[in-house]
Amino acid sequence: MMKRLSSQYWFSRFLLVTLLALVMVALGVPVWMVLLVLALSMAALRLLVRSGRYAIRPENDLLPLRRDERGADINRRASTYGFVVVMVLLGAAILLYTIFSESPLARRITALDAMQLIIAAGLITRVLSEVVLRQRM
Amino acid sequence: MRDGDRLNNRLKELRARFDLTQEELAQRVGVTRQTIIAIEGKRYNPSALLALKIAGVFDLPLEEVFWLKDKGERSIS
Repeated sequence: MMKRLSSQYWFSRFLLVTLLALVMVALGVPVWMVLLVLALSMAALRLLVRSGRYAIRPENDLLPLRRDERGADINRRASTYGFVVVMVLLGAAILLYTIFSESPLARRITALDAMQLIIAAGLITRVLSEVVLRQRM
Repeated sequence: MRDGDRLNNRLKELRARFDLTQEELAQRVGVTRQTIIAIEGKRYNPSALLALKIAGVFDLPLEEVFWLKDKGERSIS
């Protein structure tokens, strides 16, 4: 049977989601959308508890969801893969820019554009690596 | 991972003997059910600490629960 989380946990998460809702209201987001986000956020939090990704330690009242050693291992490896992809792409981008700095394409692409793409590639690698590692480990 | 690097174990057998579900064993040693599934499926080698905790649940020495795969199968004594 799954361990039950304390009411303090759910109350604290409800407060956080409510705070998010208040910020959205202050920013002029329509009320129906705020309510939808509130409901989806609480559902996502519930799903997170049931996902099996985290070991539940009810004795840690406000932070009861903890990665176990396999989860931490997967997280570490996936982060490493993402970091390596970012570093390799960054190196390649610098090299290509140095070689083709006079080309029209190089003049059109800003450093910010390139960094956005490189970081996106790193994040995608990290997420995909985690999915694959969870299947294999 | 090379085959010789994999830890063999008899978790499934011991769980049945002690009438423990994967979830119950996971809770006793403070990990997720997925980790127990991965260990039982020999896809994940637990740390020494976790292996000792698991062996402790069954009140058995570590080597009665885990052993290197190339040393062959064992049976419960």
